[in-house]
Amino acid sequence: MRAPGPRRAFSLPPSRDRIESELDDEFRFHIEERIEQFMADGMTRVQAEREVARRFGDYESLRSLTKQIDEDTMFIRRRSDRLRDVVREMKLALRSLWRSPGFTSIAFVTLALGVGATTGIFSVLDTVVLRPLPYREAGSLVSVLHPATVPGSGERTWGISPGGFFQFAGKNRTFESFGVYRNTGFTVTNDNQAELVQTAMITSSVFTVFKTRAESGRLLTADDDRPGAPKVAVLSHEFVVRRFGGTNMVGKSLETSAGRYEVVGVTEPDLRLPMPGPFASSADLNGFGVDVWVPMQLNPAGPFYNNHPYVGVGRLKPGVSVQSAQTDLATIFSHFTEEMPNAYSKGFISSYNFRVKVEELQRTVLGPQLPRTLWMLFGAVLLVLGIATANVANLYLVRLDVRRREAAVRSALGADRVQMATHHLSETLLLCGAAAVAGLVIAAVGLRAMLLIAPTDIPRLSNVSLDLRAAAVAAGVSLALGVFLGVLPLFRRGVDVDALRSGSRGQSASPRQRLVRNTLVVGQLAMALTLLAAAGLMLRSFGELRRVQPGFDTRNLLVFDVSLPYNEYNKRSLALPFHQELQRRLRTLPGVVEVGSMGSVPLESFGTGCSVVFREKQPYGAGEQTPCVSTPTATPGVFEALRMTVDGRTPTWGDVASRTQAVVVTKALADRLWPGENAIGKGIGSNGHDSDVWYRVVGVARDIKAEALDAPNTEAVFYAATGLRGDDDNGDLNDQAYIVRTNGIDPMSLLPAIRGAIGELSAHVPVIAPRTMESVMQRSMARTTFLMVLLALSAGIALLLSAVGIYGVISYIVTQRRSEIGIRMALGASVTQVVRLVMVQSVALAAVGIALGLAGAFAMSRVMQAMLFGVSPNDPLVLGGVVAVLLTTTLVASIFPARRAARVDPSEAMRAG
Amino acid sequence: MTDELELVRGTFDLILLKTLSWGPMHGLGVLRWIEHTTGQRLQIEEGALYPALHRLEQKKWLSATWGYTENNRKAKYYRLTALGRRQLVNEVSRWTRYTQAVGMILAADGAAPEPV
Repeated sequence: MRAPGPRRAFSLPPSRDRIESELDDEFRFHIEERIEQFMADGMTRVQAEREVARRFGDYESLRSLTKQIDEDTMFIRRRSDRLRDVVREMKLALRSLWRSPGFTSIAFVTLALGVGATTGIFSVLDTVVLRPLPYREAGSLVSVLHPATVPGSGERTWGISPGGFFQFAGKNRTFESFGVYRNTGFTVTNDNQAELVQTAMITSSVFTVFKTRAESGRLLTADDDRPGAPKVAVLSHEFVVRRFGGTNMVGKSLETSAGRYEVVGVTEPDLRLPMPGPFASSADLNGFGVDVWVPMQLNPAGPFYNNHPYVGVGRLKPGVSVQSAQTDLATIFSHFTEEMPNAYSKGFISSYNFRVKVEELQRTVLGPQLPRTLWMLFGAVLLVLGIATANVANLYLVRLDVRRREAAVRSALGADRVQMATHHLSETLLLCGAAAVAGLVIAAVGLRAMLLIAPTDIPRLSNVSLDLRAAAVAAGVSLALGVFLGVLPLFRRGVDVDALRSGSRGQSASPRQRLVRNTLVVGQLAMALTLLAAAGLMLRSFGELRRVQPGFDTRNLLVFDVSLPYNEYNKRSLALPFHQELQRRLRTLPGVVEVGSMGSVPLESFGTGCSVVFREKQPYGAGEQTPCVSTPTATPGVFEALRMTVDGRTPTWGDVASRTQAVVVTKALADRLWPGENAIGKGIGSNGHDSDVWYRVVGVARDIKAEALDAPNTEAVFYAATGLRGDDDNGDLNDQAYIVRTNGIDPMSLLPAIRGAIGELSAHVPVIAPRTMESVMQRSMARTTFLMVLLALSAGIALLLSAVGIYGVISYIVTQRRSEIGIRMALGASVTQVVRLVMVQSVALAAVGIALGLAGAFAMSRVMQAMLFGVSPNDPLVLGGVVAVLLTTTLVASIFPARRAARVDPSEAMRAG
Repeated sequence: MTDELELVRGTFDLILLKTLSWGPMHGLGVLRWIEHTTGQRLQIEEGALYPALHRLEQKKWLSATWGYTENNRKAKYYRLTALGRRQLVNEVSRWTRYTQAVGMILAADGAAPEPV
């Protein structure tokens, strides 16, 4: 049984002031009541007061002690109240989201797509572009290369020459260390197993530049690098594990096609050599995974020639800028003609506009185009995110309108802004939090799918995965969205009296609200159009690229590389019979139509290097530039295997045997060297005008695109393997790409038979990287495809989201104008007129959006220009098509609400108003 | 006043909770009830009542409201909460066990075996 309590007095929530005054009240009551009691017992007032004070104790210290307790209580209560508020609001929010599944699911999917796309592309951008290269103190690494303007081919980047290395390494004042390297292939034959391994020929300083550490043994030293020093090699951690099962290799010997090497050390794991710019074609730009490192042993005494095979890398001294290093090396470079007159003539330097360039290594590795592309993609997904946000903001505003009364009641009952914000934020943050989780899932799945179509030559792309940074971005974006959406309704000031009036509903939105909503829709449409235009342009570029005739038939072709070990096939008289015999045997295999081999593969390794060519009896004039072209060695049969059209004839094995000097040139080169003349029978050579060795043009190949589909027609000389310069000159006979045409059977199905045929000839020759020519061509277009697919995806999502947005807003407008429509229909408006009324409104919105979007598209296409092929940035077909698509989408999205408007029952609608 | 007892440490809370278990009271009411029940045998510094009550309020064992006395004076009333009632049961049982233990020690005749 509970005793009846005293009559309650009204009380207010606690505050510091209130605590003090209540405390005083309580103490005063005690003291006064006590005094009255004692006086009633017969004490005088003075006696009573003294007695009460004695009994009470030290008033001031007790008061301050109690006050302290009360204040603590207040803080504890406040904190738990807030927490309870939040939990309660969360529960409310969850319930209210649950009760409107339409809004919740659309908003959730929209936000998840936006966050997912943003997170995914950010991961790519972050991994590929933003993160430093994987070397110690990578910020001070630079590349040193020679840009040149090659007549007929345009801008090229060449490597460092041996002489250039000694000049730069010996005279610079800005580098801590400077080194050069190139990659090559060794055939390792330890334990009688032939394997082609990736080999880096380096100056010993390369390890210093990259601050590499040895896992065991030692790295290469300057002593190893002297000409004539004992042959030593350093192995990579990965190679030791792969080939030798991780046994200790230091002190053992490595048998290779280039002789026996003593292993002196093993490098730390995950060490790759960056292959910037023009050197990147064969290795992926991720850097080239080196198996074996050997010293280059360049001779400082020369002789030096004009050849540029090496990648130059340096580490700047602390505090030295790239610019000052550039100035430093440019000064050294300006003395090249005096220091190495044999290699560098003044004429060469000026006619090739030959120069030296120092650049941050990361920039060189990435190239100019890739960061721009990825930033553009990131911009595209930010647009998608913008659309998603606008969409959800719109839906949310509509939802708020519906719940306006509820909010008005709350704020009229004294809910302050913080409480209202908690109310809204709990809902939006809950939504955005869920969307962030779903977005991460979408990004993870999307990234995996994207890697399947991604070009292999994008550096570090294979390393892309969702990590903490990506998760942080997803969380940050979601938080920002949640706060933005939650704060949106707070801009409404004061108590919404209208909404409080009972029964009032469906009043039309204020002009300001309508403006906000329309702006959001127009913005969405504009962003969607910009993205669609970008995707459309890439789509057309891709189509144009596909339509390009490469000048050879890519179907039914197998390509693989054959690498003859140098120690066994160090002479042309050894290498050539191998190829002749192998090709004869391959030709007899069932399903094979024709076989040939070449030093470079079209659309893969053409155009990565070039040789200067001269024409017989016609020295180049003053205004004429010396062409530098591809000069692959080609065996008879390769033109037929590729089905290239050759005017005149192609060299035969008879030509090779009798060492006639027969060559085939491409039409593009023939037109440059002998414009308007028949090239057949002309002499061509590479040893200068006063040479006595001239090759005879026997055939002219019709235009081919061997460098890239979007490059000009290739200028090339196909040398037959005649070895005019003597038996030691192997040309590129040791590394030939075989091209095999089948009669229509799957090219890859030939591999077992081909491996068998090679095995019969030699156990030391592996079949390397078998692939179809179709895949080679596809890979050459991979960047375009990649960008196109991602842009198309972004644009697709954008279009979908915009359609949802339009639908939502038009629906809302129709609801708002129900009574007006009812009146019109009561006055005799037909269904068609009502539909038109609604459609006009959406078309008006679309028109503004499209106009803005076109402006955006013009800006975007300017950025994209370099990525386009065969299509103008302002292609009318693309822009027209995109406008049509958007307009159709708008009409379709608004036809449903329009028809709903036409079904309005006039009497009901008017009563409701 | 020689037979006035000082409060044993830690028993004040118990006394307050028990007192308030009879119904809501203001601070002075609590004090009077204790005086009345014990025949003024306990010596309590009256002002110390308040920090103790407020501390119990902080622990949510008591709740406080402002109300009016029979003479219509405003006073702060304390009421035992459900939590406080549970606490009271615990404290009582503890106190009983404690006094029993102390009682056993005082009643012992010294014949208990020596600890090994």
